[in-house]
Amino acid sequence: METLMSEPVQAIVAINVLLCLSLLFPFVTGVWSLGLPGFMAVGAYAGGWLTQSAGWPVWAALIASAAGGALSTLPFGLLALRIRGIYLAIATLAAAELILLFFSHFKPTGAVMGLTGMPFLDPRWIVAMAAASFAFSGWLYCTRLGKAMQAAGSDPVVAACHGLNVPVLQLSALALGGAFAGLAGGCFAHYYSFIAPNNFGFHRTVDILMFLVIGGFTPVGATLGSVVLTLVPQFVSELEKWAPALYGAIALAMAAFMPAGLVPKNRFAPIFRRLRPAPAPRSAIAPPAVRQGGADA
Amino acid sequence: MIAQQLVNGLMLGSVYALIGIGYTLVFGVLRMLNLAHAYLFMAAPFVALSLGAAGVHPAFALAGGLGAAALLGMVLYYMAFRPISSQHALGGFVTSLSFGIVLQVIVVNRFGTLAKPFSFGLALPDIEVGPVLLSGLQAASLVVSAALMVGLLLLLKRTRFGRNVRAIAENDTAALLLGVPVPRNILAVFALSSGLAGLAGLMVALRFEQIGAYMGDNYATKALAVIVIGGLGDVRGAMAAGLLLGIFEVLFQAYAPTGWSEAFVWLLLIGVFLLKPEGIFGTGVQRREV
Repeated sequence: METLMSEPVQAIVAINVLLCLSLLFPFVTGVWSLGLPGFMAVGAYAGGWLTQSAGWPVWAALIASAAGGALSTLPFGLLALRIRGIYLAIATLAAAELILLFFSHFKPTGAVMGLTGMPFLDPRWIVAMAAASFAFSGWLYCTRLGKAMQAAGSDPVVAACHGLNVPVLQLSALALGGAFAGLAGGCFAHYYSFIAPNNFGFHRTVDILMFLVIGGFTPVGATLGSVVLTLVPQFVSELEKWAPALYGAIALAMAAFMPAGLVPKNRFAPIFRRLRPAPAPRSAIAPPAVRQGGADA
Repeated sequence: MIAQQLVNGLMLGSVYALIGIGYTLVFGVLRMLNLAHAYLFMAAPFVALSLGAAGVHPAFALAGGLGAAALLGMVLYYMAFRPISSQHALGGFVTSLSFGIVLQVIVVNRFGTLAKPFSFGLALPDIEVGPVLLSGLQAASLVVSAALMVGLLLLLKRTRFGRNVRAIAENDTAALLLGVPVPRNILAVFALSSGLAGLAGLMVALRFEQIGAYMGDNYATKALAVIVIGGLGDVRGAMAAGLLLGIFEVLFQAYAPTGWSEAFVWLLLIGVFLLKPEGIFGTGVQRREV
């Protein structure tokens, strides 16, 4: 309990949840973008510079962070419309490196020395934002738009044949992911009050990717995965330095035995089905019911 | 001056090419990216270092490092690729990365994050050819990589194993139906590719005389660029792209503003993806993943 109350732990858990949600939507839509550190860096630098040099209040800077993260996905979107799958993962990795390279040469934000002097943001706000983002993601995942995204992810051709505008879905998922990552970056900048380009290396994507793979490609899975896996090394102090290896070992085991993750799509469907009231009996004059689903239908 | 830079570029490029060939061999047969490659590159010199510290003769220690990399490659196949169905969305991407991270964390916890001196006292005389000065090690590693590349091309073109590997790369189901021992050959490809990574790691370690747990990261991402530019799954392409990239990088470092040579690599990678996704030697034949 003491660990849960400590501020650094709360901050890192909430930031990881935001980052994991930011990977989720592009992945669900079939855009394997690993540009996350790039978007996060854009958000962090935009927000950090606005409060530190332009004197904006923190809340306004955080909005700007999210907007900056979303906008920075535009060039990635151009890539995503042309290439897909593992190729896109490589290309976005490269694009994120370019963004980081830009920030390590960009003088107004301190180049490699980093940017410092941002006002402090209470981690309770970060937790609140992560919770709100989780609720929003859960809601979005269940809406028509969320289902359209899932359809585009599972088969873009079939989705397009059903009248879905797949490129627009992919771009909007990417932008949403960028907004989450940017927000996470903004929170990072204002909690630690120091950012440098090497805070946003590939290693950050690695952990988050494993949280997502272990948790499952749903909002609940992403959140659960990042909260539990971030907390485990905090509780067992000897595990701290073995944490990445632990994530790796779990991810290996999961990929072999539970490829969809802990909380795959429809994990809770049996529970919801039981909670829902039985359908009303059909009236006698209604046309005969079409039997639903099942191999014997 | 320019000749010296070219030779330096060739040295760097041969390392890129060796790593890239390993990447691309595995990608060719499995259509999956093996991200653990860079970590095997890093693991080999550490095994050699431990063996050397235990009093093993340097030559055997180096051979042990190489063998360990090949062995780890086979373990990698059984742990990270064999259990994964080809339907898994991220395929071997996450699993091989996980395997690599586990290796890296073990090395970090065993040896720390600081660079370790790596010297086996291999004294080779310096060689001077006209304006170019080569240390003995550099010359040796150039010769070894050149011999390896020629040998690999011959292996792939002329032997039964090479023909099998090319058949699997083209269509693994058809290869299996025609009697190619697919699983055994894939395992051999993993051993070969990881051995190449280990060799590249040992060469880099011997040349710079120090090793660290993160030494593979930079080379790995560059080698990713190499296999994309050369065309994924194309061994000749990986060789050419690796050498070219090495030369260009050294020239950029020498004559362009500092710190931007990386940008060149990434821009080239994205450019190739957008303009010529089948690689520089691609024939324009597209395969559709079903």
